[in-house]
Amino acid sequence: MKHGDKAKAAKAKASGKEKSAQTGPKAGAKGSKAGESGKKAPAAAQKSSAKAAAQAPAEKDSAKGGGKATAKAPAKATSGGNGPARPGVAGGSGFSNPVIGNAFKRAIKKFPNAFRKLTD
Amino acid sequence: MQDIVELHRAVSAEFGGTQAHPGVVDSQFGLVNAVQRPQVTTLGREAYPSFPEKVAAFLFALLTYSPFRGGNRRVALAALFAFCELNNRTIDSRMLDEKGAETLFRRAAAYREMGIPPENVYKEIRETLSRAIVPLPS
Repeated sequence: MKHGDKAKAAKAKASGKEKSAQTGPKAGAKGSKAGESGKKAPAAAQKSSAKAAAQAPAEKDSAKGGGKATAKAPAKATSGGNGPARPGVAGGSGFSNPVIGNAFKRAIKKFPNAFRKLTD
Repeated sequence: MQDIVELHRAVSAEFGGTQAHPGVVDSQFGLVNAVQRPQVTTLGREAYPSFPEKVAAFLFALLTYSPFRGGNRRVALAALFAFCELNNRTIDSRMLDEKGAETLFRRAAAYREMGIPPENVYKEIRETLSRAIVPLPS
């Protein structure tokens, strides 16, 4: 075992805990449990991810690795739908440029039959 | 380029059948070539100086190279509107109606099979578009 391997193993363990914390609200509570050295376990495990997000700043100080996991928790809680929103997409129409989205809508409105008939 | 891929994704989602491959680029070279075609210069001069010429060159390249697996003509039709709107212009549907657009795009995509010279197809697109492209009403 070389010098620094022990630190690496500890880091890997911490990151494993983070990954489990990202999976859902229950798991997020588990992550917080890990951050607070296992004292608040039963109460925290039952609460929602929103509450876990509220606890995030306190946990950030207590655990070195737990910081990342708790920082990601609020984003999950706010996304609310079937997965997180794509970063570059405006308006949810699938276009990063809204002008292109409007042009596409206008094209469909003007030439609906042409779009249907033009098949490769 | 990203916009064209997004258009293909949207067109496939809206009209694509079982053969649709949304957003899958078959020929990267063809897509890059089509996107850069309006900017081509020859001997220090723009090869396509006017706006209708640029649009016609872009569409002709897009239809010739067929960079996507399916829905190339639909993407070209959507890209025509997108290109115009990005430059504060639009298509006058009295000048280019649905039937005319359909025929034009079919001819441009299959000019080899039909035995039409490419320069004639390009000229046809350019002349049609120079009549059909109008400023975007405010």
